[in-house]
Amino acid sequence: VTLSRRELLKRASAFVVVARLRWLEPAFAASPNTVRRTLAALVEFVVGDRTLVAATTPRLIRTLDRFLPGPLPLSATAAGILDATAAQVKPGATFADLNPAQKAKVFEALEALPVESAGSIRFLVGNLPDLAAFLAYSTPLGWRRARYAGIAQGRSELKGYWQGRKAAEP
Amino acid sequence: MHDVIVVGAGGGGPVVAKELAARGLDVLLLEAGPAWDRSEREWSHHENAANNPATGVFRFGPGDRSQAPWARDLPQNCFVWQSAGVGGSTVHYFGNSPRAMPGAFADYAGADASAYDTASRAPLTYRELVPYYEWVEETLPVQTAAMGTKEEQFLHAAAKLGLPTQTSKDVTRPAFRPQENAILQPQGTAGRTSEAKRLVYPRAKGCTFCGYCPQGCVLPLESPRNLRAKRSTHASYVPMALTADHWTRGKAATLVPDAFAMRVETSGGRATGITWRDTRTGLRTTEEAKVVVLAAGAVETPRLWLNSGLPDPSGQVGRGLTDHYLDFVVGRLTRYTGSSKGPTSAARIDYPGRGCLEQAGLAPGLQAQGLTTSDSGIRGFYDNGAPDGGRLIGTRLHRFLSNVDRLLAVAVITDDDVVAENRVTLSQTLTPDVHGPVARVELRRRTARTLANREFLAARAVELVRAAGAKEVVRMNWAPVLLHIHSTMRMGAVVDSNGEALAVERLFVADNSALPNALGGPNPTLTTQALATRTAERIFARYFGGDPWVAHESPVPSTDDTVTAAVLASEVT
Repeated sequence: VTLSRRELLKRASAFVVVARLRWLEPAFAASPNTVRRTLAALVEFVVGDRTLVAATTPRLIRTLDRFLPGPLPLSATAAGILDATAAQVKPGATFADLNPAQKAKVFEALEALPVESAGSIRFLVGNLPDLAAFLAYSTPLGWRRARYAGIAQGRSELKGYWQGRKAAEP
Repeated sequence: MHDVIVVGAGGGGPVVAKELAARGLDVLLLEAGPAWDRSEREWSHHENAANNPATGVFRFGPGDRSQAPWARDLPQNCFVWQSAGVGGSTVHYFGNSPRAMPGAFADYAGADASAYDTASRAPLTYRELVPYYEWVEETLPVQTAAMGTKEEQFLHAAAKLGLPTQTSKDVTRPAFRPQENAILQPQGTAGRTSEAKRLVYPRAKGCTFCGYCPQGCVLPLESPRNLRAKRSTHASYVPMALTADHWTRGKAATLVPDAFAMRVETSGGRATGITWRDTRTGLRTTEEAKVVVLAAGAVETPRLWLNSGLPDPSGQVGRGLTDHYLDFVVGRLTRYTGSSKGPTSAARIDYPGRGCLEQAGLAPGLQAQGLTTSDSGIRGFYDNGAPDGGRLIGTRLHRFLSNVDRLLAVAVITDDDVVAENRVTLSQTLTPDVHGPVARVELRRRTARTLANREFLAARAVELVRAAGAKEVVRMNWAPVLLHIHSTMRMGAVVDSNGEALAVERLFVADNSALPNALGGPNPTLTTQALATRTAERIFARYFGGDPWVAHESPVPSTDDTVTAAVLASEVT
């Protein structure tokens, strides 16, 4: 996918209406394999742990596509935006081809888009890293990484009351 | 014809419904989301199952989760965290129930009076609101929080900084305190074990310190719905509204879930009813009422107003959104903090004229989300010209999350100013959904005071976490995270001081949107509930010939034996 910055901006700004208007843009719709590869690269970039990628990437794709269903999946839109911007950072490259510094430049470029005309892109792209992180650390593997005690109905953690105060003064 | 239709069973609507049902009025309570009448099975401690914005139980969307969430047009980097369903966002809130800062009200004459949002002071006095605070605090009830390890560390660090302990509910100076929370405090085995078989009611009562406030609360196990630890309206006001014929001489309110209000019906400048759509069947229904109360939240209430074509002569509908411009500071300690355990937030510091800090202990998923949200780019790579912040990724993120129970996290809650450009409108970009044009939430500008307050608070949070012993501290400079959303139908601008619309008779607003400002920073739910109680009184007096009751009666707590008996008899599950 290679789009000019102007084209990308125009098309991606409308990503939220693409699905509903059936304005399917073939050049903007990446194949499922490309989407998976691009978003797996995003997850790895964010969480820095290859073992979390396999568990997280399908969740990320499912979350995006369920967030805004339509003929053009939101995951493909997200991947298309990342790949098209990656090609500006390094001609001919996709997001997955980039090193971490170049991947960061993709986000820097997207976050520099004007809110007035590209607010929806900034919403989508702005939420990709934290969504990936949330999903990664919501998995049992993520819990182990975080040394989380796991699910329980309660904890033995009660330490009493500050200065013994159990009620505010009137 | 009903006496009153209340739109929205979130933080504010059920308060009006319960109070007026208790007075014997015929109340219809509509909720766009699901009923959660099998919540023990429907809710989940798993973060993704509960909080995934697309597929989670607590999302803003229909009860049928095979359908997409309801759309919003959000033209900036931000995150809106709201939940549809009975209880609204109180099912995933932290239960923090501080009173507003007195400086946010019209009568305030303290030496720091100029430090607040003086252009948007509340058109009533703090003193006038206190009896309503007390009424709600007793009804929910609100209790002083017990401590876990993370609260001990937070409070000791605050003391080390030289701050005094706040001992009353009214904030008058910078001070720290355990939270006043709408959470029943632990009794019996609660907080003393992780063994499920020992956490069954009545052996355990109150908060079990499970650590899942954002995932709903159905604990202790097998407790009656009105005795669950966290006092969402799902556990408190809604059961009382539905059983008002049992625990008092009222009339049980009627709850209709999965009912998305699409239009406020009017005639001759008066509200006459509501048309809603059943989200399961698509059928539309119109019901009439003598009074209509909007409590759909600070985004959907203005949307409903605008979609109904109601008059907006001042152009203020939807304008002036405040969100406490939240920020997040996290410290990494070398010792145990228990950050993922216990109530999410049970300690706070208040800075009058500035805002507040509160301890925020989270499970790994939400903690990871909080550490990767920022308007300052990605730490180590770029900062968007705002160097004090930045997402943690890669090895930095991994280092912070290498042990979630050695973190100490603080939420920065800013007293932000009402700004006209920050607003809810109808989207011209998104295609309307089945309920009409969707809401567009724009956050365009922050005042110098708001920005200065946020910087002040973030600096204090860093000091606090360092005083607690953190070896490494990060301030995130969050992009807007909209957990506290208020003042889009402001008292004094869209509604009068009684909560009644200035432009439409018999139409009231009783949710966060009616708040006149950001309250000086404290979490908004208690104040919304106090105002909703007052609004219920005004409705009863003005349109039903009744007398106010708060000044001369005592409330029945939602945990009272009479309510428990009513809940069990009525099979409110």
